Amino acid sequence: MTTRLRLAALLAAACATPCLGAETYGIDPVHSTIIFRIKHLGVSYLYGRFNKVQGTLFLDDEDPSKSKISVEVTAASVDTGNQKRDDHLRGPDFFNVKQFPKITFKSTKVKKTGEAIYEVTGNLSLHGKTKQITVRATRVGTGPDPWGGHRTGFELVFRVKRSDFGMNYMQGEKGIGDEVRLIVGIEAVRK
Amino acid sequence: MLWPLLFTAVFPPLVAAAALALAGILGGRRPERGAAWGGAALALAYLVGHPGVRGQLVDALPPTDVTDWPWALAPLAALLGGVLHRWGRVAPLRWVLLCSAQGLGLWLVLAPALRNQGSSGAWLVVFLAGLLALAYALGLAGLEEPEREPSALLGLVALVSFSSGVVVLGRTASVGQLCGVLAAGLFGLFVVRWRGWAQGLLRSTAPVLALLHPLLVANAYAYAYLPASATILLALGPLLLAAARRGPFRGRPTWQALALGLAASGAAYAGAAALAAGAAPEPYSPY
Repeated sequence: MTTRLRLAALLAAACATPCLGAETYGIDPVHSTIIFRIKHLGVSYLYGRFNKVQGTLFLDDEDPSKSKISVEVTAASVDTGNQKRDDHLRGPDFFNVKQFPKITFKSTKVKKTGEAIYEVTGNLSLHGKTKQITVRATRVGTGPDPWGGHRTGFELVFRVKRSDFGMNYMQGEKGIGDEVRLIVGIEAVRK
Repeated sequence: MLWPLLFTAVFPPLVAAAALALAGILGGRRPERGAAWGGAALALAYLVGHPGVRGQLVDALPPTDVTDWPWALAPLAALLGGVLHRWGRVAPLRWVLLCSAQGLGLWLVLAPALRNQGSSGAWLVVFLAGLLALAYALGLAGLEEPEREPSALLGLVALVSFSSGVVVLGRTASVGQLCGVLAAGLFGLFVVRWRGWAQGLLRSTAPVLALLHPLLVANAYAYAYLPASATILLALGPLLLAAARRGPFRGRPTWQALALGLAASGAAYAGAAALAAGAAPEPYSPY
């Protein structure tokens, strides 16, 4: 019995410290955030978010190039704080969520470029079009949570052009901007 | 922001009028000169207007976004208009060709929505889309004859313009504008028809409208927030316009029939507008 307790304590201690090697994490949708910003009428920025995100991170700290990220966002969860505008964004003029219900990102290459900084290249699929993008990901932290699990977190900041994904409606200097700036905060729980 | 307006309201009527006038000039001195090309002129106007409204050329066939299917089907609609102008008096041929084209178009536009719906929702979409297409085909067939004056064409300009506003209230401005492109193209045809040319052009134009307009309204219903009740009322428009020329109203001056038809269909469309606006979760306000 004592041996078993010692073994359990050792395992718990091992998991409470940052683990090296390959690990799989599931994205915690409650503590992950996707915020976007787009120019409106050429005079201001409008901010919005997507409220439903899920996905998996496969992280290999010893060989970061083997790491993989897969994120899936429910397009209908777009939220700009105005119901009518959100309905308009969900419709054929923009996301057309009934035809394209998911926005996905799947990494194809991960490169560590600095202390806790990664360059992630992957395919972003949005509105029926897929385009390769490269984003800078900063590992915010990693460690045990109060419920006996282990968590890690990243922040990604990048820009995309909506015209690259066939979403050109109302685009223009005095309309809605082309470039969209995104801030993605991911918190993931080790599986 | 100016360009979408030009492509909605200015270029389509110019293109449609120029194309029909050219066909008329080449068509000799008969009163029906150019009439067989009315559908092609309307389809050409739509081909020009659609990319301007959407802000991009359709870069793939089949189109990635179903909203672009009416553009891809416009040449088929033009061909259908030409064929039915020539052989459309043979009723079975007319209905087989028109209903086949409508069925194909609706299937192409609605397939992704049907895949992402529950089975009961899918049946409702299919039922409403079928009703919409059939009502349009019947209504437009009823408007084709007699057509010595361009009043029916003017009525259709008004109807399709009203429908544009209703679709915008269904929270898709681009599809509403695409209905506006059709209305503007019809207006271009009306101007040439007003000059006395292209008598009988509705025989070639009605099939184009019967294919493209229901596709746009069905798109607004299936992919935006146009309510089912408003969709049904929009489907009634051409039928009411045609009914005013028939039955107890047959024999009245065509302009009276037009006024009566527009009053009836206008009431239906006003109801559709109220339903579309009322379906919003909060009172209409710009944002």
